[in-house]
Amino acid sequence: MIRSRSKRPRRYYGTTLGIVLFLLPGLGLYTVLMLYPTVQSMGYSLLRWEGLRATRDFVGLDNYARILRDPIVRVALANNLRAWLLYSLVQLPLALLLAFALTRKVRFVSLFRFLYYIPCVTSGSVLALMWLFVFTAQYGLNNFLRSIDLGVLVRPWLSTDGIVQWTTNFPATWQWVGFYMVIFLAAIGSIPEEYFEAAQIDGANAWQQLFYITLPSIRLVYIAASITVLKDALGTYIYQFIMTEGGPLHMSETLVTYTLNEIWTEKNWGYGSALAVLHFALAAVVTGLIWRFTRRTKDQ
Amino acid sequence: MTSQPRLGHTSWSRPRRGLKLKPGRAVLYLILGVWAVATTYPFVWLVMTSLKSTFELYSNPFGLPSELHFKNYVDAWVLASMGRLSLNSFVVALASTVLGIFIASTCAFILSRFEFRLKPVVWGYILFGFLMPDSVRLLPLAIFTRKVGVYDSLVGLTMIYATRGLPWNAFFLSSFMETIPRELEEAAVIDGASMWRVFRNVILPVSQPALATMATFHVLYCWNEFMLALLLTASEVTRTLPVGVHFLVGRFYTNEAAISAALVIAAVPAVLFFLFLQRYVVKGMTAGSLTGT
Repeated sequence: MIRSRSKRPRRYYGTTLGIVLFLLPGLGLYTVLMLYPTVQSMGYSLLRWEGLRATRDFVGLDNYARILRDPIVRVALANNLRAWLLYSLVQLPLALLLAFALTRKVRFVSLFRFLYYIPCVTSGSVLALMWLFVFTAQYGLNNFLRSIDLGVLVRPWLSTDGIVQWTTNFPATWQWVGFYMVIFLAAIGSIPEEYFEAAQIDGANAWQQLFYITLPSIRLVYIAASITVLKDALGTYIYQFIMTEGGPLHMSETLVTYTLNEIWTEKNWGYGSALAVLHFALAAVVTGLIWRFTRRTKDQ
Repeated sequence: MTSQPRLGHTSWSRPRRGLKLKPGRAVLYLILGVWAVATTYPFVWLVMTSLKSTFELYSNPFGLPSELHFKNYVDAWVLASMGRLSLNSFVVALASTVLGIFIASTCAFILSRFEFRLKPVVWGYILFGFLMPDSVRLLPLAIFTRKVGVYDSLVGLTMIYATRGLPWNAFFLSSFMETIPRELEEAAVIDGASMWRVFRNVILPVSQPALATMATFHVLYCWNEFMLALLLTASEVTRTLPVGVHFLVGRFYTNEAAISAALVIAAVPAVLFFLFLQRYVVKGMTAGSLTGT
């Protein structure tokens, strides 16, 4: 039986009306609840609008000029940067190391994978309270340090400048190791087994296999993950929001906690919207990078 | 002894037996063990804390509880109305997953099975959603939901969660539906089936594995989501679990044991859910986790 078939799928049925009706529920809700609010925020960011006070004055780009002058924005972005440092220098390498270890023919792979992933399926607000107990001055970690005679290390972990910026970023670093590990596991799993077998026959040890086979093969996935953590770092907020509320004195603020603070606590709706739009713009650039990168990987 | 025949692709998740423990392997187990402790110990500590009396909390913060103080769970359940919070979370997760599957699969059906001129535009429009952080939509959503009367209601949260998932879900489902052979639906079309019948009776049943993956992710997302739930609800009766536990600290900060119990109650369902549906989560993550969600 010979059938000729064009590469493009034939338009075999499906009227315009049918297509519209099928797309309508999704696109309709999406327009109302995702797209339109985003556009509205951009509009709000051009206003001086202080919440309950009803007047909304158009001030052009004043709010954005204020962002450039605002020292707290710099403090917040510095904390986002710290998050990014922790994610790319601790989280991803650790995730890679664990993924590599799990593919070295060890036992209990699924148990380890399950345990590592538990934080990823737990709500950030639950974890934030858990870590709040750990870091609270009179409790948790400090008690633990005292009990092992390391009382000299006891600190007010959440109220010391220079420390709180790291302790509020630490839990997110810890939480998502398992997530990236699963991604690396999948990437390593797709490397043909023959490579490793051949290397073993040639007498390559585990480290040589890691550096000459695993790493080069998953390089592209690793780079994609490195860009993704940049986006994670830009959006990080829940631990700061719950553990310290960005404080003390805005020290542990991030871009998102500061935005929420401006909108909900200070009722600076115009300025808060400008901060939100800044986050949107930065996140869009990073997502664009990820897309460009993954597309290039597919073309190869 | 013959070597085991290779059956296609070797799975990384399958442990192989019969290997001797060499020093190098001991290091491997050490690394894996240390991180296993690092991820689970905080949870174990939380569970132990939740079973101690307030006095023992301070006198014996790290040991096993001397007696199991289940009263904390009763306190958490009654005083923090964990029952109500869990029910809200459950209802929102379920309803939003059903709605999310509906809107994402109808879009994915069209985008994977039909050719039309505006298709790239529709794709671009949907994928634009990947760019939007939640914080940018919060204030307009809060104002809008107030206007239309779904502020502080589970209906509003349900719709917002389902829509929030649309870009990823439509992307994921349509890449699955692309792989369904066209012959399957052609037979139905020749028999005169309508689009809806083809969608409902051919495409959806075949897409079940992808739908299961999507649903698993979406349930976990709804169960854990915090920012939207916090700022789009106001009263205690509409709060979901993550928001409810957040307000516990203000209300009885001194009772760490009861708060710990509440945290355990909030976390356990998600962990169990993941335990049983692990393979779907892993599948979904390998499929599209680095697309920018």
